[in-house]
Amino acid sequence: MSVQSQSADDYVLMEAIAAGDPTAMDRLYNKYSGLLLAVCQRIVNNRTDAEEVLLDVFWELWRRASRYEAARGAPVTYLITLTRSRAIDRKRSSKTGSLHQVDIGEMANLNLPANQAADNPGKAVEFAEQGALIRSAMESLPGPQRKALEMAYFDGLSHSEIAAKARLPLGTVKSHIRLGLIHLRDILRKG
Amino acid sequence: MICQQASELIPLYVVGGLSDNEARQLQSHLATGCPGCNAMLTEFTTVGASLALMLPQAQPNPDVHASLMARIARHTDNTEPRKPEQSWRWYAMSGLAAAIVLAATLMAVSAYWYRMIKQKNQQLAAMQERFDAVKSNLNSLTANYRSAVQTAALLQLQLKQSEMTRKMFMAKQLQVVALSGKPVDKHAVGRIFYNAKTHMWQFCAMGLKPLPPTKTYELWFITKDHAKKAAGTFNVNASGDGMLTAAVGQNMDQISAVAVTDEPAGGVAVPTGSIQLIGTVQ
Repeated sequence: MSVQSQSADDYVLMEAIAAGDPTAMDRLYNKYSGLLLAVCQRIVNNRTDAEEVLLDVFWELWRRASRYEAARGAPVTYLITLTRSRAIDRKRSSKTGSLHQVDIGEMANLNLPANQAADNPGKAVEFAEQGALIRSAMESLPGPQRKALEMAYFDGLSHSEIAAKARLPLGTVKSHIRLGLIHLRDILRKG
Repeated sequence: MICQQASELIPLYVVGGLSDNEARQLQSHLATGCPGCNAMLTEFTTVGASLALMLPQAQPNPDVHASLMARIARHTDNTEPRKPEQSWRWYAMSGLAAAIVLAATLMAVSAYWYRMIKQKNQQLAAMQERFDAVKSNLNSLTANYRSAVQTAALLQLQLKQSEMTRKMFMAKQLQVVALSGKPVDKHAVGRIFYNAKTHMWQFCAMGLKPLPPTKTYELWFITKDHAKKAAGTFNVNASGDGMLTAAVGQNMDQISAVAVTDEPAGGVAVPTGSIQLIGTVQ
């Protein structure tokens, strides 16, 4: 199970958005805004900035939906990748975000907001299942690999910056990130 | 780059950790359409995106949704229904139009500055020309002024000489000595007017031949004991006229004759040239 499995009708929505259908955008927003806002908040570490980035991402999607190429991955993968990129841009430009480390243990105890779960029970369950799988996979990684991967993906740090922060050789950091992602890939393939 | 190298870099590329040079090399390889590496990129992009799923879901402020849909509504009202492939054309045309507008603006600005610089250069050249003309006029006026000053000084000198001559001729004790050019030049004559009261005398010559610059005429007083005393040098104009004024320290009665000789320029203490005029004192 992965983000790919959630995109049953996402391709249809993306085509409708590219054709200028606001209803399709409304449905896609309701489906993924909670997930994408979480990505924004994790990266910029500021609620107001995160919501601004979220609005920018969906507006960009509306105006440039034709840029999406289905061969490059599922719509949700495209949305997450686009959101991460814009959030890192905002963090670097505003410098408002402060680096903080994800504690997998704490995240495992967090629940979805009650109203969102009530509004989208199917989606909430699907996200919860996949989230549990990813958290489990991340917890199975050696600590240095997990931290290097989080710092690279969520904090947008370069490998040399990670090496400096973690006081590790650059080659080791690259190895941690590569092995971490390969490990996750293998688990997702099995899942 | 071979696929083995690309596969090493793709996981790092997904999290944006490659150097610019590494990223360019990988993108070049992917752009070749290598199916295995492109599939690997898609898979690792999905793996990376899956990390987002472990984050606790958030609830956006309803205003974000309202703002988005309102913006979309305004945008929809102002645009025709879109086709997916129209977007790149619109951007291409917009880019082309923007480039044309920018180029036209740059050309207009360049032309404006070119005209301004050309106009200023022309104004500068005209000012330089006027300045040169004023400078030339000033030089001319300065030369005229100096000439006028010289003329005034000459006139003043002539006036003074005329006044002396007038006083000379109006004197009651006036003595005249006539000189003649015979036998050298029968047309040449000379006169000495002597004021016995003031011991001033005025010599005038007419009909003498003009001399070259290396020579001059010199006047001599010859005493009764045959001594020759230089009384001064003079030159004549193109008509052969010349004049000399001087004070004589001794009484004219002691002088028996007056003569004029041609001498080297500047005069000499003892006559060396030939006699041009001569006359006896009565």
